[in-house]
Amino acid sequence: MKNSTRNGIEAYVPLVGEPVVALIRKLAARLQGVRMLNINSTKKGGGVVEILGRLVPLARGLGIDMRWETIQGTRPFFATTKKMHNALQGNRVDFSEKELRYYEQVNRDNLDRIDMDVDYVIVHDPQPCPLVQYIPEGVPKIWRCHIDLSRPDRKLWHYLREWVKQYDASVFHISAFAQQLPHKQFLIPPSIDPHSVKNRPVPRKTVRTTLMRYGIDPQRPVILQVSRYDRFKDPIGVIEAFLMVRKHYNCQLVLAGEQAADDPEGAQVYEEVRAMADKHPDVHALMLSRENNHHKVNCLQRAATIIMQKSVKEGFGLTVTEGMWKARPVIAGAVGGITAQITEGLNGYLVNSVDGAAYRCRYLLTREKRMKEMGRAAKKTVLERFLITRHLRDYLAMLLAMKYPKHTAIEM
Amino acid sequence: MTVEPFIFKDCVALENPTGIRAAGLSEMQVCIRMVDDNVIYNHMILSHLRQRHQRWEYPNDFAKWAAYSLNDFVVAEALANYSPFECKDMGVIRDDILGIIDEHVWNHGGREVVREGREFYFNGCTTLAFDGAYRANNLWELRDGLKKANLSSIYYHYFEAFTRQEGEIDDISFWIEHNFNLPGLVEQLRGWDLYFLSLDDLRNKIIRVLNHYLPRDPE
Repeated sequence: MKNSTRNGIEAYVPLVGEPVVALIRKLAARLQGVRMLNINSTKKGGGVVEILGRLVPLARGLGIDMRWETIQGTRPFFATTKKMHNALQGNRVDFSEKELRYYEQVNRDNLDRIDMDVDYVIVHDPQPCPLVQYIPEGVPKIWRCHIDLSRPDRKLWHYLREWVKQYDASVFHISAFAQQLPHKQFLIPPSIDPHSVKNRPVPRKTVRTTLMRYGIDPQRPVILQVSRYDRFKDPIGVIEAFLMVRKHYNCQLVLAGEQAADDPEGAQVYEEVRAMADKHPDVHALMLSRENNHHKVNCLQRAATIIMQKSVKEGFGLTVTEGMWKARPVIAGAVGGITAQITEGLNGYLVNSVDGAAYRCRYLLTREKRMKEMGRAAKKTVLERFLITRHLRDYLAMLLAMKYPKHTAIEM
Repeated sequence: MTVEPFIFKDCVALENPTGIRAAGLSEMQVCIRMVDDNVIYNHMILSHLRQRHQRWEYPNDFAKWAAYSLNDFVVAEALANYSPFECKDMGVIRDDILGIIDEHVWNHGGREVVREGREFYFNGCTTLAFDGAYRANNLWELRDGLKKANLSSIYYHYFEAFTRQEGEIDDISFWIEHNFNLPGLVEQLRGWDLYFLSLDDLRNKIIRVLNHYLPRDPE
């Protein structure tokens, strides 16, 4: 990450072109000195962290005082918010009054740590959502939802909605996640940074060395799923699909993930995956350490023949975006934001079952030329729609649009 | 004659979801009746800005959904063949779309629904327009500006212009008409079936016409 933070917006001109960057500068010029605070629950692990880790320095480089604070929580707090995450993505989970009051209490306890004397506040995800009640009057308050809210648990949503309603706007990744709310909603898909350690070019020799370190054979095809060990990512289903493919092709499966600080359930899922993986020498279940893990993910994605993301629920699926950026064909669950990234048969395949995942792997492993064409189309999709420059542009445009909440066409 | 400079405008469009969704044509009729004009604009006109480089078979969001999600190609074709640029009034466009769907439901039925996750989601939009980095005082500068401008400029000066200007007139030919005595060029720049052109295609087409008229750079 260190290298990428040294790059200002100019570093993106060779990739996206001068007109795109000029437009961002123009938007930023109208927001000079504006103090914009982001609040989430962790600075370690996960897509939100990666995005803010890049958006904040880029915006600051453009003269916008963008800040990033995290709330601190206890283990029971994160256990509750993880349950909330699951319930908002559709699981039926019950919450006791005690859990909900404690959730609110932890938010209240964070007040002294966060300076809210700013011009805009963006609160990310459910963990810090109740903070809305403490944001000073007159400061535009935006709730940024990064999870699949298409079919939330009714009871929990009714509870959370009372907090969400107090914001001035909400932001969702895709239309399917939006809810009927009394304020303006925006669609802003997330993004990846092409200059980050996770996405920048890597020499082939380094890729090979990384594979060897994990005992992966560089000569044989690699099917890769990179994601947290989380039931919504269906790692067990991926292994089942791989075992079907393995009957026909001499290939390997690599599951690679790290553990996010706000996900206490992950260790248990990893143990289950590990137990299955240990039974087959061509299944590698890697728990990546935090140290240098972005570089390792980059190498693994570049070594992959096929990128898999067989999620059954997905906020957006940035690992899909990363794989596409490396010009690899992607086979992914037809859920959430993945459907906004993959156009069936053009830049990847959307699947709905273990059989579907196995079938599409076999289909592609027989067609090397098709895989290359899909990979090229995938990279172009990301270049046009899912790079950090588009994300920054949309954020800045949203802040400007918030100044004119009743207008739909604004001449600046 | 003093030439008024042509200022390339850039624009950014943000979609504003309404949380309203339709799973089939009957629900779609109900929803189309209830949403704001801005939602109709987003799905019928602004869809061109989102498409950018790629050619597309279905030029508006309703037709695309009917084809790819509902798999009802008959209504998809009818919706695709409707050009919203002949009428600027979103209320009239709304009625026309409703008429197309109504006709289809009458003749073919419309009880099919899509599976969960494939519904049509109704979104409004907010567009922000800015003076861009380029301006032109003559046709050579216009051509060079077109080459360098953001694709959103092309959208703004053509598709967006159709909803602003009288008649099916874009900003570029309008500027040429009012600043230069070149009726032949103006005629060549008008009357295109823009509905099926990507923004890249359109940019290249305008530049080709200008190149034809501008064999040499000015002294």
